[in-house]
Amino acid sequence: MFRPMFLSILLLVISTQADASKLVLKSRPEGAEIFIQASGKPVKIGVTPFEGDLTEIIKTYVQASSFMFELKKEGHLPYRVLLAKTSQVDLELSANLELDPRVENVRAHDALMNKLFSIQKLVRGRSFAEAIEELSALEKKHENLSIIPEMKATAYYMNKDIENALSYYRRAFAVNPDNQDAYRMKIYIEKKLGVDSEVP
Amino acid sequence: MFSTSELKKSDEVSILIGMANVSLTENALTLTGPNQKVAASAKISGINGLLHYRFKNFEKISLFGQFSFPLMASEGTYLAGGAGAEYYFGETSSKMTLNDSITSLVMTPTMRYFAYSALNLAYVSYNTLTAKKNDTVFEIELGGGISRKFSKFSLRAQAGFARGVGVVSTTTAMKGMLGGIFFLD
Repeated sequence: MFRPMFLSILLLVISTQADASKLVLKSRPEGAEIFIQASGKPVKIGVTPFEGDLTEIIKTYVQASSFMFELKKEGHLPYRVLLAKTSQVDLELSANLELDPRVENVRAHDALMNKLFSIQKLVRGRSFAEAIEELSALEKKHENLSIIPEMKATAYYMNKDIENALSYYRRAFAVNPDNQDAYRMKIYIEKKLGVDSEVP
Repeated sequence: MFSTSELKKSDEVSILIGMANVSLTENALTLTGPNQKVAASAKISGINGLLHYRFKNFEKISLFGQFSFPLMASEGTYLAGGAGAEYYFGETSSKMTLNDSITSLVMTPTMRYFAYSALNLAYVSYNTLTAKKNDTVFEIELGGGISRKFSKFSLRAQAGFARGVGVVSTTTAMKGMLGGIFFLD
């Protein structure tokens, strides 16, 4: 009884031995181009999500002892992974592609603009305290932008808090001496209050 | 970029089922008492289960613990537990994973060949012509096997030979097992 069973096990295993190794490549976001590079130029093999035969890919493209997968998508940094040439392994790789810093920068600016527009709406709606609070929070994150102290000064001015308004117009002008609007309002309030012009 | 040293090797639990054939010979010198003058031999043959836990994995070698228990036995009982080491012949001996904020990588070997050796402590209960007896046996086991990954599951098949020395007997065991592998990620 023992011998036939052992032979059956052996046959079962050997009969499935010819199956290929599986390669699964995913990326977030999807749609990244997949390149394989072993020696010489990288070769594009597909787009994520990708499923293929790893044995066949290695046989076709890899002669060296190691190879590299590279995932490329516009607006994202290229992702690379170096692997040893191997067989009889199923490989599943999932990569979170990092945003290109330039694109990230544009997105951050876009978010800031949207925030400033929503604060402008608060000022127009005469919700000065709320607008000033939000501008103060933004000011901590963006110390080098003159538009934020300028908008804060405008909110104080419309709220008839002239002294604070002058203080923030002066700060806006100090941060950016090219800010003509801040400069004009600073001079106007200084004349109105009869104070000396403060040179930053 | 990362190196293979950052890859975590998975522990494995396997549940197998198969045959265990044990031949047992009593040692005449150890027999005592009025009814035990003749050394008997006996055979234990049955379907056994095997719980196998791979708990420490190196590049080519893995350490394991195992426990074999009877499921259906025609005569006698064979129960064994022990620990040992497996040597893998291929490039990849373990399922390997890497998880960080950017990369998730899983490498699962599809085919593995291994040889193993183990030290077991076994309990045998057997029938002679005149009595039902039992013994505790210290066993050395040698064997080999193969594991194969399919799309949804992984199988492990192994065969081994064990030689044991007990208090009143010596044993020879042949085992053949087949079962599933569960990777503990």
